[in-house]
Amino acid sequence: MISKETLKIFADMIFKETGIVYKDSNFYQLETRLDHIMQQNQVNLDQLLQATVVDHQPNILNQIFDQATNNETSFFRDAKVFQSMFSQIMKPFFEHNPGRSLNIWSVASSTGQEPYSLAMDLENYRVINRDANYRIMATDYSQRVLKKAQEGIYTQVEVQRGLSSINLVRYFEKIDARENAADIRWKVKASLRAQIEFRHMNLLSPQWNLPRQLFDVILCRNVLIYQDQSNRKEILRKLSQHLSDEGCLLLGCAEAITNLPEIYVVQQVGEATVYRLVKNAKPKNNVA
Amino acid sequence: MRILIADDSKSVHAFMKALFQGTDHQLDHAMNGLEAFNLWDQNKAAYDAILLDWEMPVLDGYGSLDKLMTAGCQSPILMVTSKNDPSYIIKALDRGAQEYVMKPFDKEILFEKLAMVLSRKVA
Repeated sequence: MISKETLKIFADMIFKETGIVYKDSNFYQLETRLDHIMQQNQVNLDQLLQATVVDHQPNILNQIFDQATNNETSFFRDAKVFQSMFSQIMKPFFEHNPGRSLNIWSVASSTGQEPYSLAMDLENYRVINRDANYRIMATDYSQRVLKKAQEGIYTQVEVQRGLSSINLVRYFEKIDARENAADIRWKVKASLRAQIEFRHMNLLSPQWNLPRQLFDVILCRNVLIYQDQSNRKEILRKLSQHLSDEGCLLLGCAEAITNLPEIYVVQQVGEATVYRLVKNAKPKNNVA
Repeated sequence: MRILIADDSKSVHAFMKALFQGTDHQLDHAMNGLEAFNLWDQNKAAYDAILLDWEMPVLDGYGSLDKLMTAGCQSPILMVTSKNDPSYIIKALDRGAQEYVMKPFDKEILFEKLAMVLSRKVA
């Protein structure tokens, strides 16, 4: 059992690097994650403290920051939001902007289910509208989940969560023929993987090293909920500088923007709550 | 909601009962594909969803799916099977199955798939 005082040391370290807040109420999660790291590295608590607090070993520090993120996700998570987003935001975009490419940013793409879900919806639409071109950029703090997302390999349980069977056979191939179902893996087909650019990114970095392009849709779902108010505000302010004038920002179902009326206005689009820029909120040519 | 489940394994029926316990869904059980077809045939509008295993004696799941579709079954049909090769999934979807659940599965997966087919029915 790790003492509360020691957990606080790790919590502070994680907050400074990632902005993720661990409090007394979720210290048990932190303890589980630290236990996992100690087991993986075959070290005890004293050795873990030595490696991190004293020696600042990047390898083990990265493992701690990586494990600190919550990577819970599934394909088409909050299906009704996806349906509204597609039918009332993306489809009208192509109808009103023929020839223009739709730029999408999945801010915390975790193991890839969110950007792949977007790509599947858009590829299905491209069957009837070949001119519907799009670009998806997917970023995450964790190198571990980014690697998994780029590989696009999922267990049989993962491909059944939220994913329709028709999309499964269209966009995935079974790569493991072993009899034991627990070993079976499904891989996203190369043609779909090619639609997404995966990048490593820390939202707390002072400078976001991103392409100088504006996004028509930004999804930043279930990220801000783990940040404190000051970081939330700063991330939202910086996101606004990457949003196109007519673009929209989507947050997680349990998240809302309440303290930036000078930047964002809220709009209900079917089942999706989206945030649009207040006119003239964004200084032009001031992409961070 | 009334659901017809066809599987030749008693343990699968027991597992299904456990999954649906506490819900207001009513389950009807068949031990093979023909029994499932006959239950549906007696009351064609009764079922909100039909779950078919693939490998069953007398009439297998695919045969049952084919027979139900030929007879004009309007209830959404889900294959629930350990056959997980894409060729089986494509074959079942082509013949009219709405979803395909690969065993082993959990409650969340089954209920999500059911919700998927029921929302399509409403739409």
